[in-house]
Amino acid sequence: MLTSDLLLTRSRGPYIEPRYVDATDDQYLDLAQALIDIFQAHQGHSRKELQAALDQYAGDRTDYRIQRGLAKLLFDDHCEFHITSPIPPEELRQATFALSRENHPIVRDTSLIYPVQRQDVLDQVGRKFDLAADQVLDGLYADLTENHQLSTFAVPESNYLLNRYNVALAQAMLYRCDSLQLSVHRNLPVRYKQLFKFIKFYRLIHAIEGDLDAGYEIVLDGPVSMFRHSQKYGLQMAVFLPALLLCTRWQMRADIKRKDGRKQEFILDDQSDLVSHYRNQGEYDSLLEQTFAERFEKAKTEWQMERETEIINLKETVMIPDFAFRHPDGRTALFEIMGYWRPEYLRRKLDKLRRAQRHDLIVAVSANLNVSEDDFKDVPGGVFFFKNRIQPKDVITQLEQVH
Amino acid sequence: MRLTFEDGTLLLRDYRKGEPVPPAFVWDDRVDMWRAQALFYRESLEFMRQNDADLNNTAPRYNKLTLELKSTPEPHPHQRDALEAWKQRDCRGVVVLPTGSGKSQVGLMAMARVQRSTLVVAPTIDLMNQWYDLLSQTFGGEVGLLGGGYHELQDLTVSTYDSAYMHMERYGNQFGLIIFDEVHHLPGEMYSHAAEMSLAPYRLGLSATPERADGRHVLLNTLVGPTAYEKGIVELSGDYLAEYRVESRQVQMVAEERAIYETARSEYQDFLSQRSIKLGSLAAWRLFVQLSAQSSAGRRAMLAYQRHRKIALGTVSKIRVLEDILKIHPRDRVLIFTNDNETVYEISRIFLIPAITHQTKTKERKASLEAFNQGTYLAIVTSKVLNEGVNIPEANVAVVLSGSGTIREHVQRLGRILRKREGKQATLYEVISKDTVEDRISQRRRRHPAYYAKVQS
Repeated sequence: MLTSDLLLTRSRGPYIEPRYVDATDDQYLDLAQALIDIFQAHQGHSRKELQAALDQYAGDRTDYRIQRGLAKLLFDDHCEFHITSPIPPEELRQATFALSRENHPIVRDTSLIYPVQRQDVLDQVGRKFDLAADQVLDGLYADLTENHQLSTFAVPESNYLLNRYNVALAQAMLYRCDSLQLSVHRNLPVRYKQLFKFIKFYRLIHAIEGDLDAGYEIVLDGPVSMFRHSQKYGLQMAVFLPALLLCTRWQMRADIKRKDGRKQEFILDDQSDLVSHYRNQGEYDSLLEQTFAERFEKAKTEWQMERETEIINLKETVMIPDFAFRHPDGRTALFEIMGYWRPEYLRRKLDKLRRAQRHDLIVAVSANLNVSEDDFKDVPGGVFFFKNRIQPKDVITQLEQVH
Repeated sequence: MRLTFEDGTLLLRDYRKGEPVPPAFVWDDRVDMWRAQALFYRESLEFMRQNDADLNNTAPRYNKLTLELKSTPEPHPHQRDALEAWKQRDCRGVVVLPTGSGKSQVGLMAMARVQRSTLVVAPTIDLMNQWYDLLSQTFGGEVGLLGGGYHELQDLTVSTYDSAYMHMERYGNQFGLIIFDEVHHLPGEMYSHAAEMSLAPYRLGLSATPERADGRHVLLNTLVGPTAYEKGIVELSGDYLAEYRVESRQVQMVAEERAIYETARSEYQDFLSQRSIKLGSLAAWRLFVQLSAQSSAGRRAMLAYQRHRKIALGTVSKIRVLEDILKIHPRDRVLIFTNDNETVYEISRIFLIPAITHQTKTKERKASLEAFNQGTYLAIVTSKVLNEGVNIPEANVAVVLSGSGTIREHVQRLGRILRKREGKQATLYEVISKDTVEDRISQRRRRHPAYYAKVQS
């Protein structure tokens, strides 16, 4: 991730956006490659030397902040540094400072009062550790970050680096965000689940409006946001962004507070060129779901199965059913599969089903689970149990009973 | 209804229509519940009591303790008065006392008075470590740490502002008393969350200089409480602080440095005058920064500006003067302050004396400070990390080789050598490059009564 000072922005009236680099432009590909080459050439050298080489390359170029951003990503994600010193630096320091204390203060020119020189101290310490005086001086602070040596550099492609940089810019923009509005429309349930998993994980709070056909408006902020505009959750939103990039149909509008107090909007949508580096889950939650979907596709029925599904808002949480069904005559229904669950998940899922109070939500329950029909008496929609696989005809029977 | 603490806020769960709702609570549509900032816990609870609410209060998770002040010295009158004034304000508010006058002692007295799980929040890892030692020595038992790589909670815990801000949403109900050391850090946009997300009914702020340039210190009234007690450095000098004098040493840059300085200075000044920009205001500075990102000429001018400043602050003549000062004080304990870490390590290598920066590990820093207090080391060179509150009672000479223009930093550096000891005479040297940008920096930081009363050249 980038620090805020490396964020470059462009304002247009009420809007603000990062100054992305064109990841296919030779000018930037060359720049990225040049930096990667400098890193690679400095394996076995100190961080200070590497930094000096980077500064020298930057010279009086005005794009030095892009360079620093790219270098920051290389430092953070591609480098390993080590301390190299024959004697632990702390031991060298102790010996040196103790000896210099006996001859305090150390002076440039010796005299009757100050007969011992700095060189004498270093020589004497050197003899103790079997080192030359220069080595003592070099080793004295070998543990400082700037003196660490670059031992490994994992070489990235220049194009990959530019893509990472662009995402990092968008993330850095969100550090200053106090509220995030998302419009999401007809995504796969796994994408929604992924999204809400991250929302919950980063302790954000959501407000949701909308339906399956119109799409959903989700406002994200944090618990204290209702009392004061706070950028406290900006970092959480920044780490959340790559999860959003995995969705297929979405738009994001972020309220950005500038340093001068002015408010601007940062808009991003699925047309952007940003490439997430988070791993996408497959299209299905489980093999059970996938097998059912494939079997249902072959079943003879007028009901159409839809993978894009509804988000049921339960206020403190959401429920995202696995499938939606649509009949040509306009009827719709939702379908949830309860396959293999650990007890506490099971309890939570049951609680969600009760709170949802949806008559059009059908539930298929594995007979292996430790639940009975009794547990579902407060759940208004159709419920049926299955042994190993879910039969499409059982689902169709239930679908016909909705309404 | 049930009062719970969640994510730095208070929630009313199982609320039934018609039950009383304290004024700090707001209906939260997102979760369909009443919610308030944890900060308003105490007054909300009082409101509930006055309205005979049927309340199941599960929010606080702090404990009642039996803390005993062992082996602490008899408090000074100003410390006793400070605690009394704070008690009068229902154990909330800020105590303002100069560095070296025993602010931490007031904190310990407050803890022994309140007898509840306590969190102490300090601005630096050094101060966090120091409070850690102080609490273990005074009260015994395990003391928790939050920050600097530690994440361990106990009834008595010490934290940095950074960690308090990051984690208060989770631990804001674990402490009945919060002590904010160097409380002027608290009202910042981000750090203020640390006070807002805690429900601690008792709060104490400590500082020598609570005022902030941005004016946000007024927020302390709500976050901690109003100023309960205040005593200045001049009032306490001599009685409770060591006698001190301030000496200014002006140095000439050597000829080569002067040449580089002047070249760099005219380079950036030509650039600025061509564009009719006069430095001196924030707006002009911003414009300069902006221009430096737009053209190579601007970039060169900015680099020249940085170069000329660096030369003025780090002239080799200063090293000579430092040697002279060390010769004048061969048996004294000398603290050397510089503006940047690079110079710290340079001086450490030249005079072969220990350095302390933010990169120094806790154990080594502690060992170096102890060695300094015992006289095993006679000098330590440091940049910013010893600016605030670190306990080095034996230090009696401070040399400011370079620094920023802020008054606070300068007062705090002076404070490092003012801890009272029988017959102690403290001296602060300020070394300035003559006829350079540093004249102005020095004038700015000395606008404080502790200086203009004492300066000698």
